Amino acid sequence: MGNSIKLLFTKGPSYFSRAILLVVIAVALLVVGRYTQWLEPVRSKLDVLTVPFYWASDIPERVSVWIDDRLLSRQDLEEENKLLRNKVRVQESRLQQMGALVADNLSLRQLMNSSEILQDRVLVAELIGVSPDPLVHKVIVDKGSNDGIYVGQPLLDAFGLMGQVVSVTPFTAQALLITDNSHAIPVQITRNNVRTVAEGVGNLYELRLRYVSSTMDAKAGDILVSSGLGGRFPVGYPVAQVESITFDPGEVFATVIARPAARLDRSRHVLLVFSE
Amino acid sequence: MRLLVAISFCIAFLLMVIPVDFEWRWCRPEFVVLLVIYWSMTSPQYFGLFSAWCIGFFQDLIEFSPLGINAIGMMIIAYLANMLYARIKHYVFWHQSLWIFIFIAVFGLYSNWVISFVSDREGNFLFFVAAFTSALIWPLLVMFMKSIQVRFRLTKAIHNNYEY
Repeated sequence: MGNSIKLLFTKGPSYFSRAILLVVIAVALLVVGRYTQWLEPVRSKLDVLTVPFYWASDIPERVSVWIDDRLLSRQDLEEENKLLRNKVRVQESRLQQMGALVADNLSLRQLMNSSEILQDRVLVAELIGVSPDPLVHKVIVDKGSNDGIYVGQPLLDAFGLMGQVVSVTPFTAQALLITDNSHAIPVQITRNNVRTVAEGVGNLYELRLRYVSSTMDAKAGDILVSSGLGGRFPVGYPVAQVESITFDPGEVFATVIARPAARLDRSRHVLLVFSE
Repeated sequence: MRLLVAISFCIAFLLMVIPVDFEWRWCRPEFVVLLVIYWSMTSPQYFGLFSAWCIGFFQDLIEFSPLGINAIGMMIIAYLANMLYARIKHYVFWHQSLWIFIFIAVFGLYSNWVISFVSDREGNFLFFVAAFTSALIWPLLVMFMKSIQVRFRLTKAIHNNYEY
């Protein structure tokens, strides 16, 4: 009886069936997103909608940077200027040596019949947002496909490799950091050229080396640089420094923990590398 | 009123993406979920399951999570809030906060569960921190939203503190 009265006043599909329909659509999206790449183009189109929010959330930061730039005492400026001049002098003296080293390197490479080392072209960008979900290590930079940014492009800061671009909109790009759970990067130890893979574990200050046999030559303090093996990252950018190694006789592989060289939580100015 | 709903969600999304330190990101209250609860409790005529779905979908986009997770999550929360509002709205604030804690914890548990199904990430139990801060912020949110609605003559004045 109650049912029939309800039916009298129902227009179109009922509340319940509409709810079920929405859930089915969402589940379908989840399944399609899990097993195929079909949603990626749609998603990068829709990402444009989120840009204003990230842009607006960055306003206070920009204002404070602007104020820091404008409101400086003459004394501070002079001091900073002096420091910078000194720094430039030191760097220039290093550069002089660099010229000789580059020439050396080139002739050595020719001896080894390997290709010439290319100077990578870079573009300076600024971070305008970080992912709000603590499980996802992604950042948003203020350059997009209009500036020639493409998916797969490596992202650096002044200290080392940060990550790679995974999605671009015309004005911004999302980059996945090397510490994200789903990220791994082929690296080698500078001391002995041993190659391994550094994997993110979802902690901004930690990377783990995968499949390190207990006989491998690795020590705390070793510098890891990108090996270029995956074909995605250019060779030779610093990635991390080995912090600790634990050999557990019960385990097949050793646990090697490394600390990322890039300041993933601090850097605001980043470089996007164009590797042709 | 629709305008107020839209503006409130814009502000909530803005609050969700404001960059905070990595260590503190777990403590960020779930502003969007709180608003979904608030609107489905107070004005279900303006905010139904479909709106909740759309809000969740947008949250998926903005949080870079797999599309659909928050869409379902928000629907569940909106449904629960809609089902229980008649009871909860007569509780005192701290008692309401307790319920909000449960809602947000359910939401966090659900997201964790689904994320571990559909992606390679694994969640952890730190979402209880967000549930706690959300529960703390709930009374402020209710008072603030209510005062705005009174200010712009969108509703009648509050007669007592507990009812809204």
